Amino acid sequence: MTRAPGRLVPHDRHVTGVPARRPLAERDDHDGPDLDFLIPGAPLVSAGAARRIATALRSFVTVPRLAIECRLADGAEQVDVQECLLRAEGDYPLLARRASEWHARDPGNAGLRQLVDFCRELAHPDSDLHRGVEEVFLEHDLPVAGQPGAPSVFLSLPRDPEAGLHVALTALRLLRSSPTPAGLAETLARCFEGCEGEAHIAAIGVMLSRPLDLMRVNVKRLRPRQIEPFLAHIAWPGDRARASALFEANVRKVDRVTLALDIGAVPLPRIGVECFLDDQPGRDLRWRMVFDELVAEGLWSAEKADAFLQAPRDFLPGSTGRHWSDAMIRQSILRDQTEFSSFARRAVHYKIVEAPGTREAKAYLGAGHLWRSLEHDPEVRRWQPHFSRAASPGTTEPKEPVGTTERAIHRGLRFLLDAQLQSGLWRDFVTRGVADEWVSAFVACQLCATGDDDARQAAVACWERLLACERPGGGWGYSWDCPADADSTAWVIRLALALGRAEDPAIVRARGHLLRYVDGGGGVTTVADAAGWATLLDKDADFSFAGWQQAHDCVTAAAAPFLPECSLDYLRGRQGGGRWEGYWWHHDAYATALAVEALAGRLDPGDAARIAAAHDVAARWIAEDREATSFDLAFALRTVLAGTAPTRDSAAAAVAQLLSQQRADGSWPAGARLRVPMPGTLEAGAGSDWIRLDDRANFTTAAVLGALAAARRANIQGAP
Amino acid sequence: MSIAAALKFIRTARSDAALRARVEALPDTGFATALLETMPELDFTPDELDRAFEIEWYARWLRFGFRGGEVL
Repeated sequence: MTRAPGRLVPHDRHVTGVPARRPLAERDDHDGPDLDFLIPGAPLVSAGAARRIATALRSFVTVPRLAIECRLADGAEQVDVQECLLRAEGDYPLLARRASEWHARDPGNAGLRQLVDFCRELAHPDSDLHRGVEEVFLEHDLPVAGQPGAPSVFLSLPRDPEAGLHVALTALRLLRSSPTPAGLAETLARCFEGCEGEAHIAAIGVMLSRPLDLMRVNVKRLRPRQIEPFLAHIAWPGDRARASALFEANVRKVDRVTLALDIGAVPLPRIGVECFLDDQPGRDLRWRMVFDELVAEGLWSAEKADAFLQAPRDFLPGSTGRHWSDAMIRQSILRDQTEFSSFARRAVHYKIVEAPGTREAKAYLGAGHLWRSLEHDPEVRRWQPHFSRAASPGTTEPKEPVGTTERAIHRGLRFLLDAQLQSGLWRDFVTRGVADEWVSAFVACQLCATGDDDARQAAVACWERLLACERPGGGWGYSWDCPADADSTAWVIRLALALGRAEDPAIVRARGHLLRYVDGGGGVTTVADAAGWATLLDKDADFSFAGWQQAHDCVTAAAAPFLPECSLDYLRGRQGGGRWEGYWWHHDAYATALAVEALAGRLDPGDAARIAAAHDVAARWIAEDREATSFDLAFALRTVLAGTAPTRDSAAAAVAQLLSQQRADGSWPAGARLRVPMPGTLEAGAGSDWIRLDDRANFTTAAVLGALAAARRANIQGAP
Repeated sequence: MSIAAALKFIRTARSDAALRARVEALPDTGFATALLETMPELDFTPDELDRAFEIEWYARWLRFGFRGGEVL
């Protein structure tokens, strides 16, 4: 494909020495964009399949957003491609026009006729279909020879079950020229009825080239305990316990799992789980862990799994060997100068499908154009194609309470409840993996502090999941694959106390386990099992963990309520300049607040002065520390509230600042600066530490909620 | 005709409302061709516009604080 010449300058003149490159994109006469650089090469996609995909790309409706379905088993050559079309991008009228053209070229194709009917209705802005469907995926056949058949159509549904069923039946009526069989409609309706809580039918799929009256139903946000009742409700004919085990095995490892079912007049026994991770393989090691398991199981080839994990990449101007898209150049000129046109390929999800006697797994890449923005950069760095994002919060939110602090707490709660994973956990902090057990115990504790019923219910779900994560020797860890540590264990004990579960056998064991971390001076170390960490981090047995194995003020303060006989005296001796030092934290507010609260719970002579000194330093943080984040402010607020004589003016000032920092989605900006010194580093802050933010903002938001709840209990309102 | 002329055009179009309006009036599809047809005074080729876009892209990228390692 060559660029059409301008009137003044023939396109093939390169008088300034600009190298000739193939044009990236123009679609005159429907000769679509040359975006084959988005397609990964062998061994993921064979040369023949890549050619067929490249051909298919040129028939796509827009500069495409793609999903590439890769079969990673040895010898599996098939690759399927889906095209994503978005209502918000104005794609539907283009799709309607394109569907008509496809049908005109193949007028005898009944599937294409039905697609035309569907797309016309979809493109009509007043139609229920247009209003109810945010996105459509077309899965194109990639025939080795001959005319491609009608694509399969997958569409999103409104979250409201009544509206969702209506849109689904409308789509079925159009995509199937004959009336929808009663049995299929009834089974579909049962799927909607069977969803409870946050669970909902998020999408359906219709395979136009298949003669059978079958459809795909995707269910999002099911909790593991809901799987068996849901399958029973829809009279699913398979082994429900096995299906539940399949779901459970994956929900613990990833961020989100969607259940995929095939239904006809009755449900089919085939079932799939689509498993999404929000970070890319380069940042989140769980991709590697899960893929290694699937390779070890024999489902995948190691070579293809490796190729998939290395497939994500960015394509910037000049990196593709082609001209950039004219459309993107024009839009770049018109957009803000902090927005950058780019293309990207991302790992999106893997899918395991089980049917009687068979089990297979596939993995999916997303690819397409991406506007990078400085303003939204954290989001962009995690960018996933549209179809892989978490479901948006429900629209049936209760009326928000009046009152500024009340309202802020309510909105923050909604954010955290929505962020809770199907496993019951929360995740944050990308380090060598992503923390979940420790993060979840902390978040759930803060939720309990709000006294909200929904928050308590979420905390209970978290607690139940954590119970299943207890290490064989007792205690909990940073994440599921890490050895137990004192900090995580202390926060789980705190959660148990908040929920009235102090007598649970796991907690009795955990309190005993915690004693392993107490050193001779009464301080609490973070790590006891250095050998376990050495194995995990692939270090030699003599690798030094001296820094992680020394007593830490921040960990001792977290555990002190359960070790009062030894840890409080340790803390009394550690205060300096009014503050306690956080080994694991960039700012000392966290360690100081927990230490002061521990002392305030069991006052000795001299503690009043210690607390007063801490109040002074926290008041300065609140008044003067321009670098303090919302997280630091939250713990400064807890510090000035601790003890018998809260510093009310400072507390009111902190509340006012926190209220002003809340974001539109109810969260506070990620501000928990976790410091990760090298394991042998005795003195944190020496310069070689990593600093990691809670980039999902769960940890900071929970910290602020806990602090605001404490201020509310002290009857402190935000001062202007 | 030169890359420099194309670069100047891109930068001017970002700040000059009248020029911006003329760009807005052009279609996405076939933009470079349409641009050079409607503004014959522009002294660059489509290839030079593409190359200038690339240079301007990276200049902005550096100007607004991105580092190479942050691309992915």
